[in-house]
Amino acid sequence: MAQKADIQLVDEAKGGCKKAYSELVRRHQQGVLRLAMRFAKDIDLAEDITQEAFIKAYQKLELFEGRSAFKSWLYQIAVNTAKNKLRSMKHDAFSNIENVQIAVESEAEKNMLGKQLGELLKNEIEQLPQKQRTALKLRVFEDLSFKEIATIMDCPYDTAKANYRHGLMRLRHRMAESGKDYRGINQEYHLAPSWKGYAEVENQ
Amino acid sequence: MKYKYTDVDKSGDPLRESWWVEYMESELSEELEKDLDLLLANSEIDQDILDNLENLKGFIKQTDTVELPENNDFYDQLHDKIMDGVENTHMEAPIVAKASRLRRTVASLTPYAVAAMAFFVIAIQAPLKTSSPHNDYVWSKVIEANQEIRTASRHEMAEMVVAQNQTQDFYLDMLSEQLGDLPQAQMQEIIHEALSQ
Repeated sequence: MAQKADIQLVDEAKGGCKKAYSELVRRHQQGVLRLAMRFAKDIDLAEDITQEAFIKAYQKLELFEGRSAFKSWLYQIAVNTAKNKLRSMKHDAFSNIENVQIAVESEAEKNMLGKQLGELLKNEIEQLPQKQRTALKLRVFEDLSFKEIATIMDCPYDTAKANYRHGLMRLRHRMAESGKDYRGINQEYHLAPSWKGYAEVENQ
Repeated sequence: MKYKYTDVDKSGDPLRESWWVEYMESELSEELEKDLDLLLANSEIDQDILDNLENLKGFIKQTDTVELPENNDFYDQLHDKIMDGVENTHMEAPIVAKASRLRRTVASLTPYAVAAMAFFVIAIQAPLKTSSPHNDYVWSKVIEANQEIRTASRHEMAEMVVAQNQTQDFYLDMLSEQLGDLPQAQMQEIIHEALSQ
């Protein structure tokens, strides 16, 4: 038997069929949990956020008119729930992360350095302004389209894209500022200098 | 060419970098993409920028450390907890949906019919505005009803006046402004009184 589309299940749930909503929960709970983990970084908290998001979605289901995919709409609720929850807990998931100091570069310690650079990069991602960070995570980690990201972030398409772009560019500059040669870490990975920096190199 | 990193200039050329982000994300028009392909084939700097962005994106992806439980029991329990919550939750009445349903109904009327209604409303108000004790009484009722609506259902009125970009909306808003959500009986009474003078 063919699987029902989300929108069909939504209509049935609106009509009072709890079984239909149960199917929607089964379908999307893992995705919502993963998304919640990106914000909460704690499985218990992420579970709470997931639970709350699905219940809120059920409460507001009548308002869902199918202009966007149900998944995008649900993710939007999950992101807002996570933000509100973290705010209410006065939890700054990023303030406790210490800046990673990189001091070793020897060949033997490349793995360690790679790990540290990974930590540095993660730290830099968390330092991004919230909207840029959200757009970046949704795009890179969740592989969502900009249309979906725009729905989730409740902003125009171009704004979602601009947030992602600025986030990525900012990261590139921040990573470059650390002044490390990344080529040994991630094969060809290295950061290009700015245009000005480039000109300086070329003129040498 | 191998370059060495010297300094990051934050005020560099973000516009040029932006183009490559758009290119990487396949967000450019076909025509523009071809232009950039050409640029890419002839500019080592641009090749490096693009490589760099792609590598950075790949590196970011590698830092994804979110690990989720893999056992089905966990998800069964999560599902049950959610559904327990749902059992004790009521779906909210769709206030906004009601407004949009009304808007759709109005939109389904031909603009001519709505225009005729609007004309009718304006027309019946012309005699109301002429001065006579009877008209003053009717007019005061209109004002009173309007005030009632403004205080009682400001929220609903705000919901109604959402979009201004359709011709029908113009007439709908005009009607709302003139009569608001007057109870039908009250509206008929006013119209009857106005016509019977």
